[in-house]
Amino acid sequence: MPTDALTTDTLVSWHPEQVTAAVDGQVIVMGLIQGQYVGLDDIGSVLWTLLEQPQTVGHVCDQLAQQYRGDPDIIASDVLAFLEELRAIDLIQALDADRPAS
Amino acid sequence: MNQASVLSEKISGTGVFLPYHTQPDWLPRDMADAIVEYAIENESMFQAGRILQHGKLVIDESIRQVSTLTHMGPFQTALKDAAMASKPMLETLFGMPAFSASQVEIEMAAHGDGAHFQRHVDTFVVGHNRPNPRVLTLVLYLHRQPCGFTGGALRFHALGGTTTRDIAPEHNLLTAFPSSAPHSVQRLASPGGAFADRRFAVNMWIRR
Repeated sequence: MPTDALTTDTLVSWHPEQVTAAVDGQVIVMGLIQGQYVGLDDIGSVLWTLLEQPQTVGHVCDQLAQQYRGDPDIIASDVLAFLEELRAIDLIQALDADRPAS
Repeated sequence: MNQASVLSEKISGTGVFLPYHTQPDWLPRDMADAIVEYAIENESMFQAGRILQHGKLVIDESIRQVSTLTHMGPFQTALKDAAMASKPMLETLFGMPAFSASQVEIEMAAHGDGAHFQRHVDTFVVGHNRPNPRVLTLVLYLHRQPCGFTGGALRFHALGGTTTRDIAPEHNLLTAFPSSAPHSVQRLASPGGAFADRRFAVNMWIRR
């Protein structure tokens, strides 16, 4: 599984070892590998939903740019940083590039 | 953008409870009563409960004073079907993405006098079958009438806080929650110590 830094071309998806639930619209994810609970805010919850199926980071950025106003470059930068955080605690995984994206 | 934060660091005070659902009279009454009778008749089949410690299953009565039955005999299929029938509703209630179930694990636990189970989550078990974790936990409480014990509540623990919520283990009450929800079993008292007076709980775990 790729461990290089994420780019907008990287295919990412939920890590299989997590359990997702929602409380009053706030998504709470428990990572089963590190045993951490993570709460996501509104935008994070939207992003999380997008990752249920494998997506490129660029596609995720495009989806968020359509829903929220903002500089696309800043959105891409923020999304990449956020996804790196999620990957560091094993909530998402980067997939092989030849795996078909949805 | 900073959407993620470890809840224990972010939330102070009362914390946040993961969702849960309770449903009285979950099974037809005659079936619920029959399962209690089945358990009592099969006391010799129950084994001392084990817990996961340092990667191994061990018997530790200081933590879990309980015995378990790993197959529900003639009720196994009906219980599995009932659990699976509840799955779509629970996914919706808990804001959980719909998932394909690979397995429904079922065991019956019998808590006797003094029994309790410290705070834990159901996702960390031997035989984790990675990557097929327990996702949904359903617990059906059963006891004979009149009830032969006091206490034994299921206690939910808030994430990032010290608040708790207790569920009384009433006969034929279903309690369901994400398997990641922290919970414990409060100490119960059953002065006579008879097996028939135990707090029975059918634990059903739906795995991804």
